[in-house]
Amino acid sequence: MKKIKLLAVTSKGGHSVQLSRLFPAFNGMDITVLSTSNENPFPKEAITYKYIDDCNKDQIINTMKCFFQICKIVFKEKPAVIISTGAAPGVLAFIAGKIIGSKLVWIDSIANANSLSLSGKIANKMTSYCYTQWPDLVRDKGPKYIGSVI
Amino acid sequence: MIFLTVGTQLGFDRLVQAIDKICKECPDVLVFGQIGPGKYTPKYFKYKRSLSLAEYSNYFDEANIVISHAGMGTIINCLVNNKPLILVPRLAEYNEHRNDHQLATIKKFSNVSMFFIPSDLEGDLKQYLTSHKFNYELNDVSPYAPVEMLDKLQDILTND
Repeated sequence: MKKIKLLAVTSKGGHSVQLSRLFPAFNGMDITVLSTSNENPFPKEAITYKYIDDCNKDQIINTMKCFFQICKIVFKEKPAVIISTGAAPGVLAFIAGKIIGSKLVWIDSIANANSLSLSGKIANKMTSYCYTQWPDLVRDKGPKYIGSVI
Repeated sequence: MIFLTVGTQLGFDRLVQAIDKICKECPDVLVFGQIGPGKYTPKYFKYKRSLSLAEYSNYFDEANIVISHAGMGTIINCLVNNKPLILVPRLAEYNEHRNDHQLATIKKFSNVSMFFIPSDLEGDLKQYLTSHKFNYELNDVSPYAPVEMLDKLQDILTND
């Protein structure tokens, strides 16, 4: 059977720590991780690692740069699935992934205990596979809940 | 040694300054800090604005206690490694973050006995930093998410 091509996108810090806790679910897949950390914090033998520039909604130039880097990778690799634990770079990858028809899976950070993150709200409009880590935040129109990383 | 970390993306001068003041008053309190791009320059403890992964893990391992903003990276690392943690939330009113989600985080984790939440950044924080005994229950947190969640996620990723 052909390996599923998975692209995981994360900001550095807490988002990336949460992504690393999901790795057993990626077992047997062809994994590429894009992150804003200039050092690779993930198990090196299991994945292809690529650095992308950090950005947020207040930094237009960085956001454009980051989007360009992400588009180049998404259009070349054509991942079947894109997963993100946030934040802004995940939304950018979802936009690129939407164009080529990747399955988009969003796991909103456990830090957002009272409401979905801004990135999560955008992701929820783009995919039915949007998950919160807090059962109280589940809504009919999404997000859904499948558990939390802790 | 006490390891202070506020992440690398935002400064947290209110906390850094409070700790510097305590270090000035109590020379026995040994702190090393990763203090991010703040404006305040500590005079009474050693620091770096940003640490490499290897440096971070050395200071983390060496520390008896960690003090940090309520960021999920540090919270999860402390849970997995059973490292006691003093948590101070970033507040939007001081422009320390976009919103007050760190207050919500603190509330959700307030029942973890390994986490200590000072009621103010003077007397109470000083008491924590000068105390050598922290009583807490050990946690059994795996480096990975619970199996039930991982199974559900794997189904979502693999099924059409």
